[in-house]
Amino acid sequence: MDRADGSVVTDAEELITQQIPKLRRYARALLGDPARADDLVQETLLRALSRQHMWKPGTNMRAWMFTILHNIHVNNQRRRFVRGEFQDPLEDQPEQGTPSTQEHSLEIRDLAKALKTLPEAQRQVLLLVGLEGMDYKQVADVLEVPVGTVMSRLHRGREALRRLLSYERNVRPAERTTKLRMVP
Amino acid sequence: MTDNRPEIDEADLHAFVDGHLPPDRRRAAMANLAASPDQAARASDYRALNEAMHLTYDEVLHEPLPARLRVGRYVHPEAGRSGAFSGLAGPGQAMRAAALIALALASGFAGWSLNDRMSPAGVESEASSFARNAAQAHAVYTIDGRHPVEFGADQEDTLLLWLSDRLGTTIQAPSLQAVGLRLVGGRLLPSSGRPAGQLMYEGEAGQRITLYIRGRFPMPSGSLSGWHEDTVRYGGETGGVSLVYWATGGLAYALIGQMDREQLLATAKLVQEQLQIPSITPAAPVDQATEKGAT
Repeated sequence: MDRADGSVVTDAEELITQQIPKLRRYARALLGDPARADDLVQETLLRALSRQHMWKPGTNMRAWMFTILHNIHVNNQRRRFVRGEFQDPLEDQPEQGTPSTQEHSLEIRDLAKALKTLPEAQRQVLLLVGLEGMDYKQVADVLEVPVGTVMSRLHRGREALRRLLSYERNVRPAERTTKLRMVP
Repeated sequence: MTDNRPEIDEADLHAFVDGHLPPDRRRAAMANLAASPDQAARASDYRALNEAMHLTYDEVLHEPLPARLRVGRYVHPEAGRSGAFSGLAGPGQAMRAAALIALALASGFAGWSLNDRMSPAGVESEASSFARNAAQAHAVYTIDGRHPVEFGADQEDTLLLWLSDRLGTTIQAPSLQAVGLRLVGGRLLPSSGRPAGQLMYEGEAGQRITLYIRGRFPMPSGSLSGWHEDTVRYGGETGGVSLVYWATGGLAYALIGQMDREQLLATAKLVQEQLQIPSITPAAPVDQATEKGAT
């Protein structure tokens, strides 16, 4: 299991490689801004590669890398805050465009927007559960909080989104009709 | 959560939606949902949220990876990568300590900005704020015993690729062997909202010198840049630490260390001689730029 020969290293690198698209998806959803999301993934990748000897073969590579990503993210936020450069990037980022031809575009845009209104701690839990399909214990390990905290964040976050989106559902159709009429 | 309790609680409802409920509880949950329109509606909304997340973000999984996110770029099978990092503790504590030090020292290094680089209106020039950032970064990381650098000299290629990606231009580490300094490594830092690179060198007596590099801001005409192209300026001295800085092409440099003015200027000259600065491409998106060069 713990061989120090090349094959284990290669396995780790292979497993690291497999996680990149998922880390990217999560970072994009978490941060909103694709460039900053890829910055975060790159830093995670570099750190994972440089510390791969600390990864125990047979354990969950995805959880390990998400934990690294989360730690880097927390440190980045802290650094920006200390340097006086902190601003929630989601506050001032332009919307990420979604293809308008898609049937679900209205709902999709609403979801991305609605997610941004959540406190980040809730957004993280909702994404790790809903997007990554992690179980609650894994989420608790990645975020380094108790499972009970995960559950309450999950509940609060989902309920908030539910209220927000059902409100949108009730308001949007009228707006849409108005806009359609204005188009010649 | 007892198995014979007929009601399911909130946690069960979430676990049901997410597929984490054991089969017996799952049956209880389904019976419950059938009897409770309110809970059924919530379960349905929760599930819809999960699906909407996939609809929104799954396309990222299929986007081609930019070169900087490919493992192969950093892995050189013939180069050993064992034990480059001994920092077993997470970076958290070191960063916290460093952050506090940065706060404490920021006022001490304010002196850098007071020489001759303020406009009459008291607006700090770009060069001045750059020098101050460089001095702060030097103060923070040269005394960091555990994580003075993010990547060590044994991973110089990775370090320079990373910095080049983030600064949007090729970053090189000049050799300062001629003045008795060896490369320790480097790191990426935020500097006035932009990425900056810090390369750290060490002399035989353990003294540390840092070279701080950042892209220059595009300056509106008439605003205060404070730069004199290619001219090395002496920034001053605080507690035995001196600073010089200059700008060449699209990049600004600062060299900081426990040296006297003449030594530092000579070292800066050595740096300048070695750096073949390619012109920076303004506003070129890094990803696309690196993508084109990808295999």
